[in-house]
Amino acid sequence: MRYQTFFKEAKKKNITNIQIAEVTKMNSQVSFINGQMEDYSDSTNVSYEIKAEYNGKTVKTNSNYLGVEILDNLLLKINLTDTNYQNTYLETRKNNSIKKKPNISIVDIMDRLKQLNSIKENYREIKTLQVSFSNQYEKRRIINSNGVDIATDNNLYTFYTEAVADRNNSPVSYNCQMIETLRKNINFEEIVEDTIEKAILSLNKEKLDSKKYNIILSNSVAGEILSHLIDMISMINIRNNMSCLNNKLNQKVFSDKLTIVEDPLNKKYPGYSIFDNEGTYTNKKILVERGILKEYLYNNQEATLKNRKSTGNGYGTIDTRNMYIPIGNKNLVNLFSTMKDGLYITNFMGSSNTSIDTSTGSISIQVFGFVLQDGKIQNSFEPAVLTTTIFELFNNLEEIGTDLEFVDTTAGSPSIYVKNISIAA
Amino acid sequence: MLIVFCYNKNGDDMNKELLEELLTLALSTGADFAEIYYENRKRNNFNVTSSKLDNISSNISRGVGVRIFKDKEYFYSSSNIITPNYLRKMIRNLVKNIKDKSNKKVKLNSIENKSQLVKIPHHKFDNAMKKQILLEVDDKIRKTYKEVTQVAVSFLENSREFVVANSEGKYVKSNSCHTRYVCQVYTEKKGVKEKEFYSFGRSMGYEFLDEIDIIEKSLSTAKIAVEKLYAQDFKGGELPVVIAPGFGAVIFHEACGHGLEATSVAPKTSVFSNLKGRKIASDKVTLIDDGTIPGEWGSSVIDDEGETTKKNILIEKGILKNYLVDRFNESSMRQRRNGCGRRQSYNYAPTSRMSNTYLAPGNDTFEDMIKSIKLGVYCERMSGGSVNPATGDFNFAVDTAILIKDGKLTDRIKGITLIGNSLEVLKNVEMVSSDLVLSDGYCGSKSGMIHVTIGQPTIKISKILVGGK
Repeated sequence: MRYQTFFKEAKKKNITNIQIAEVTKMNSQVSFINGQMEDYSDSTNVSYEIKAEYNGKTVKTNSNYLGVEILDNLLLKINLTDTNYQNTYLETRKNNSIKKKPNISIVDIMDRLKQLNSIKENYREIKTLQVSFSNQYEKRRIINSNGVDIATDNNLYTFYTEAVADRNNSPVSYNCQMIETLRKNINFEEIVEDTIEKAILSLNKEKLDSKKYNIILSNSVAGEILSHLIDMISMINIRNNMSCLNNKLNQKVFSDKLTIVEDPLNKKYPGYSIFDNEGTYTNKKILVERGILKEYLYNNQEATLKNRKSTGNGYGTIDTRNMYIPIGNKNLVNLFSTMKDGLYITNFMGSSNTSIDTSTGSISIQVFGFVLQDGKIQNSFEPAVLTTTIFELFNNLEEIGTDLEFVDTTAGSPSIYVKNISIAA
Repeated sequence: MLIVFCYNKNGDDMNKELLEELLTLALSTGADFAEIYYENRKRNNFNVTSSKLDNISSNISRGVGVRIFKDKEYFYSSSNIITPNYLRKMIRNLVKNIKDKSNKKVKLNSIENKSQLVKIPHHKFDNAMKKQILLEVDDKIRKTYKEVTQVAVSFLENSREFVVANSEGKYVKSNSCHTRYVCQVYTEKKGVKEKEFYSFGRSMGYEFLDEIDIIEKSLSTAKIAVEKLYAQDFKGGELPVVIAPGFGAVIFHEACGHGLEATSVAPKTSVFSNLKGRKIASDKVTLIDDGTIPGEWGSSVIDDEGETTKKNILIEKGILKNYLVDRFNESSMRQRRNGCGRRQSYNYAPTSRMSNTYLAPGNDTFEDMIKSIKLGVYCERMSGGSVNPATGDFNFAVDTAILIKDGKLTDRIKGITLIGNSLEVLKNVEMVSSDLVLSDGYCGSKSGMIHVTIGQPTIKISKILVGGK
């Protein structure tokens, strides 16, 4: 069903003020294991986040097509839900459209990806080398029954590699992922070399004692942990008292060495976004400044309930784009030499929703990495459990590195040096 | 114009001819196999939070996935733009990846209907009643426990209709219907915050309410959330553990279930590759994956490749008997596919996945297990976990636990994670009781997030690394 027909059908049911975020996603992905192509896939999807009003009450729904049944679903929500708010709609905008057709083909890079396997031939301990590459394109368009029609788009490249090394039937693995807005910024060969070398280094494992350690979290581990801050400062969870940062606004919650910003307008970072899915313009904002919590995140619904403006974080639910810890003064080698002895944590695993619990702030994760002695990487350590809280982790922050990397469009971090964290082994 | 679920006034299938044309096109450059999958899906989640129906989150979607194989390579394309012309264009782009020729014409069999009977479909159960039940639970919990700061209770509804047609003539339609109750209770005392979670999900409609006492289960969840406020930190170490029946089986799901899926066995990236027929676990371990159990969360009549689901014995008395094998991997594995090709949606190509995976009951008793331990941990409720199949390293979080001292259950402890290696832990299963319980959950892997059941009786593991603070 076309937009105008949809708006007309809605009007017949007394549904008005419709605003739709049309999100078009195109993706091409290929992966190789030991030089043999494992799979190739591509997809094109158009989805709709629909917001509408009936008798002064606003509701939202999601679909990937427009039809009468979608309007019936909106009516179900209007009749049953108790959270009553009237939303603000975009009245006038300078409309724009994106005409250019994206080219997301990855065919031209297949041979280069396949050839990466030759690097492995120099290392007899490497049993498996997996490489995956994907190109994702996203276009977001906001259309409403008041005539607004605006659009923005984003293009990303993701490279992932994992090397499995084995000696005496005791396999170990090391992986690395890089996300970039320009393909030329990914040095495939260098990443594979580094991943292979780290996998081989991991073969020499030592068992740790259970005690408190000084640790360096790699940029990817720190970024993954930071991404959980979104749920902690989402106004939905704050309003419902489901966050460990409830009632902490303008209070000192973390070390004064920690500042966290969100900068969706930085084109060099993967989450570039000039407006959110509700059409609210985004801006650079400081979420945590020298340890003080400065901002909760609002979408239009939460903002209306609090009689204030949205912070431009309405992406279906509340989310961020380009949230990160600004870089410090020391590169990774200098971080190592500053810490001298401790653990360099390069990867972690855990349960998706409980290992980092955003309602209590507790963290309990399986960690992997290397032992550092006198500032130098020695052996890897046998998998261990790191147990802390988000408060302890960010209050014990000692130094921040310069190697800022993003884990996805939402969050990123440089490596960070943290003192005195419990490790069980 | 939609291509499937399109019937004329006489009920005749209007799609077959188009599907045959598209599958023939998909084989035109020499693919060995082609398949088209269509689905129409509806999801509604009724969420009561802060004692009101705060939100009904929903998604209505439909789309098509096409895959082709050639030797050991496969290619997949998906979209929700499902006009015949777009599908032709999509398939033409896909087949460019294969540089051969074929004149093979695909003829489909008559469509088979393999649908599941749903007694009370989601739309037939009064929506106001759903809201009333959830509000009643919320009220009972808040009146019973003063430490409760928030209650979030939900009904989750997920239903789909789907069609699979392939170049071997298979043409089948089916459906799935999942309904789940979820309860989360948040508590706080003197600045300490805790949370407890409970869920009950079935592969059926609202008739699932006949199988659960929602109020009783929710109050017991709240009771644990309160007790956790008084739990002590625990210094970890390598210890014996007893794991309660039900969701504790996440240990088998993570420790070996994923490593037995063809998706990691076939490319030899699993620690269990080439171990069929070998002893990999203690005699106490018999592990079964059974997608046929009526009403279970991971059950279905057919899998997402159109194959009838099966009961597969994976490990029998410690011996590795079978892998989970999908259509693509069966030739390289030299084992026939066994009804486990699953996917989250049309956006994912199906691959071998678990369905209802459980450890068969044994003869030991809970009392004997506790008595046999001088210092250890009783893991009462488990949370999720994860595994790297290439190394066998796995972890899972323990939601609630009790310290075992001198053969007795003592204090409640918190902040526990168990970690280990698959090949080691399977050999350390020392005792297995007869009290098998199955639990519902979700599993994320290569073909997306799918419904799975995991189950086990109470077990004792002689040693495993218990992480604490």
